[in-house]
Amino acid sequence: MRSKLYAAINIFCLSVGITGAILIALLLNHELSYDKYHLNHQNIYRIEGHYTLGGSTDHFAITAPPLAPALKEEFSGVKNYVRFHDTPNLSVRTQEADFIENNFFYTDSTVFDVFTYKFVSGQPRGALSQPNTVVLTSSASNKFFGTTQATGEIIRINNENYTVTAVIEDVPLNSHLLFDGLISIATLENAYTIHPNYFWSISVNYTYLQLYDDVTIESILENMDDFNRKYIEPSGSLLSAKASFTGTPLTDIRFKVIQMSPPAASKTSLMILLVVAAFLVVIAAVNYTNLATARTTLRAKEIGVRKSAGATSSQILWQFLCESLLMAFLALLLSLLLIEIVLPGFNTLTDKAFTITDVLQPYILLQLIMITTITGLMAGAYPSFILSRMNPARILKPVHHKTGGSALLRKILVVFQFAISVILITGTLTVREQLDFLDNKDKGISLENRLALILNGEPGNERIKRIQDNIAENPHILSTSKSSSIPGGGFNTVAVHAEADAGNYDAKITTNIVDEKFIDFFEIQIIEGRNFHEDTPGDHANTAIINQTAAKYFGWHDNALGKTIKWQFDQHGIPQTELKVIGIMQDHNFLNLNNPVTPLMLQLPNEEESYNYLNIHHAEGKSQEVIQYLEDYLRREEPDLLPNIQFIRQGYSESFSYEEKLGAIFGIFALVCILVSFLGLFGLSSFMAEQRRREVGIRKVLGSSGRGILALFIREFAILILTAILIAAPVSWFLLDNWLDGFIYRITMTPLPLLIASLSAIVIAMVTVSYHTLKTARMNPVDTLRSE
Amino acid sequence: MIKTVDLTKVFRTEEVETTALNKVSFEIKEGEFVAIMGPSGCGKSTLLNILGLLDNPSNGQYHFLDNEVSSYSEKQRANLRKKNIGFVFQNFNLIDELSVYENVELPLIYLGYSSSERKKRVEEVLTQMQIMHRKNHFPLQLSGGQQQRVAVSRAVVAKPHIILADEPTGNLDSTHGDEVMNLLEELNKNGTTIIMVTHSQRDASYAQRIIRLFDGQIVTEDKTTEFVLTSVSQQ
Repeated sequence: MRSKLYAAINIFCLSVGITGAILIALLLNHELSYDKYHLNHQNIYRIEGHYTLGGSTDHFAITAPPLAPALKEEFSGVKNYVRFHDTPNLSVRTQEADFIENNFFYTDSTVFDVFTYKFVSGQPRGALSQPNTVVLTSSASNKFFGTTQATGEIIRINNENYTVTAVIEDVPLNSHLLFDGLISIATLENAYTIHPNYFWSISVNYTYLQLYDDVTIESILENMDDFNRKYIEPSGSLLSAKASFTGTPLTDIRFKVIQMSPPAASKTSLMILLVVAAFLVVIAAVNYTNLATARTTLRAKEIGVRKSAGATSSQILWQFLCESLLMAFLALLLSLLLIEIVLPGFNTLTDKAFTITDVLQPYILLQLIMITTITGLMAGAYPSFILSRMNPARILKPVHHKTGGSALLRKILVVFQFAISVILITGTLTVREQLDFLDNKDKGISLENRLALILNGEPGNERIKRIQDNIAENPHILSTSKSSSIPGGGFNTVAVHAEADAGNYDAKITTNIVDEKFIDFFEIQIIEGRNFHEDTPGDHANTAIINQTAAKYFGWHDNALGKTIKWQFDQHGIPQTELKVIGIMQDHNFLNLNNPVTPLMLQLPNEEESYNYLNIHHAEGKSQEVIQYLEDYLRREEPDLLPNIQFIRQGYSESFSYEEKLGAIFGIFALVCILVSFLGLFGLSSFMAEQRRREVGIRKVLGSSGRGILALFIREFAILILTAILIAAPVSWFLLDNWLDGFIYRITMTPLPLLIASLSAIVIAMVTVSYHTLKTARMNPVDTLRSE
Repeated sequence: MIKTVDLTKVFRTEEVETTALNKVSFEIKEGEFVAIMGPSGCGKSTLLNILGLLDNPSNGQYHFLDNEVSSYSEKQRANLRKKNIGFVFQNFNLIDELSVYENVELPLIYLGYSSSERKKRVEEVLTQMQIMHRKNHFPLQLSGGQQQRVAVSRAVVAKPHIILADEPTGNLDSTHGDEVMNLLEELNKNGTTIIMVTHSQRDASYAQRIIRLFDGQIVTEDKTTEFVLTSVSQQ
């Protein structure tokens, strides 16, 4: 019975270790395979732009549309280029249904020459050369038409007809750029050919270059002087802006952190995961070792008998190594089962779609067998060595063996295990606390119970006004407002001349075109000056309300009212618009809490401008009713306008999804770590109790009480746990303080999470140790001191 | 001082019932030196464990210092034990991780002596046992004879009324064995009651009386000399 329990603990521990290692192996293999399926991956680079204006430099993964053709024109090493221009919130209609699509890109027809996608129907050649043509992925095709053979079908995108020219297989998940459909960039041709000077100053698309085999990206980027003089400076000089470019190899983009890039993976996080995987395996193996050595006394007799029957040391060594290998492979089988159970959760956490068949891929399977073999050998090496060296004559006598060095090693490992556990628990609690803090932080703006109907500037202002008036009849709708951007969403940042004591001050400022209700709608405070009056014609296109940061940034301080901001430059650099500051609003976090408050100005639209969002404030708890009402209303009254409605808060929350996941991963690893440490300690305390039965017996004979024995053992483990806490405290403090520094708004660290983590570790350790020790302490000393 | 009446000990496993002691009755007076002899498995150690308050009998009475202790709890027995009984074992049973000094000090700690009192007593007894020069060594650094002297030191440090010795010379050569037996004899002369389990005729000759067990029962209970004569005549 006893040995069955030990075997169960051993196999379970090993399988937890192996499961962790497999999951991490899966993830690492996946992360390191990004974009390698493209046949030309070694020759493809993404060009990134670095723009300096008003004293600061911004780094963007996106560049201006003319850059790619200009580079191909000027550098013979460039074989091809492809641009990807993101186009979110597309309304897509087929005869049966309509959809809101967020994963479509405008792209050059060269996309299929440069990148490798598999065609399900249609031909790569010419697929995207004509305006109003679109290539769909299988999933999109299935969704829109119920078939993957949609080539030739007509689809309505933003109320225009497009022809499906081909269907490709879904983009593999190990791609940095995922999409559901590609629209020919020729469709945008008109937009892409307006004045080049204007276009150089805005970045809208990803630029990929395919180079010839023998050409390096450096040979191009290091010889850009003439290029800059010819293309960049004429437009940049308008705003004394500077631009420079760098290139990132396609297969490195997954790890590149730069503004506007698709979500990147952190190499540091992967390294941490790798360490955790190694740690899990080592600890599981150590646990096995501890439990196995604890049982040496029980197996000693067996070895004595085997040896007296003629077994050699190496035969015994192999017997025990095979035993631990067998255990490890049994654990592997259990791991496969565990993986099947935890994979859905793991997929949610990591945004992947691994299946058990991924685990059974030959190269992963090979890794698994290697991990398992190493684990088995590592776990079995020490006990096998000790057992095989046992002298059969000594085994039969009640002589015990001293194991000084390995005892110290085991203690160090326990300290290590518990230090990691304490760090992880502290981390989990601190991440949680920070996220709660961000959630509850006063943002200077009210976002609750507010929805946005996404218009994409499609319907005219009059129609929006009509919708606005009509829905105001719904009793649950408290107020509405229109704007070109919403808090937490995308904003335009523009270059302006701000009025300065002498001449102009070149600066960047974020703009939002709003109506006069916007300020009240979001409950933003005006601290100086006044709000807009829509009925005052002079307010349109002539006035601005700026935030406190803008006033400070422009150097206006207390006398910002009445100052002017000039912008919308023509091809000669002459500003076309001059705005007078009529109000100062209190700073609020309009992007999200991941970003500091930057200069912001609000303005009313001119005649040509329209809004992207109709914002709706509804009564508490009525969001579902209001959404349903809006959808019904739009389908009935405005059938060509797709009801694309989102919670305004969502954009805010999404910006912390990575941290949320981090928190969850921390929590899970903390749990696994505690579980494994708990089992390890269980093993160690059983080992020590076993080894010290005689000592306990002696002490009891000499008058020690059971409680005295318990105190003795607990004191020894308490020293280990306290050492672990002493190590964990500064490490976790340092790591978490550093992590928190990455936030613009962060909590001040308190010892509370560490205290809770330490207490949990102490309680868990004491309970575990007491279990074995109590048994030993209650034992009749006679049993341990027999000398007959 | 010690009196047993029909002392019986039965060990039960799932299937087997073994009677280790069967209605054993005898008396030991204060200041006596008694040897318990008998072949392996005759119940010697079981008897010694019960006499040493390490175990309770299944049946019968055990009077220890005028208390009937046969149904005492573990805690009560421990209390009585640590004040009155010193143990010497065949395999010494010293704690390897503790020094000679610390091993000898142990019973005094459990009796709650102050540290200065402990120091005085330990050094006194180590000097008496001529092992003082080894007080900072660890048991595994000592010879068997020295280890047993440490064990005897530990047994007597708290000045118990009784010393229970379980094959005290079993792991020693004859020279060291005699040394230990002389120590026990010396202690007995100074008034300590000694009960010793042994296989050795030679050791038993130090005792004033021998209780001989066979299959859990007392076969003979004689003065040493008489027993030697009897056993010779039987052969």
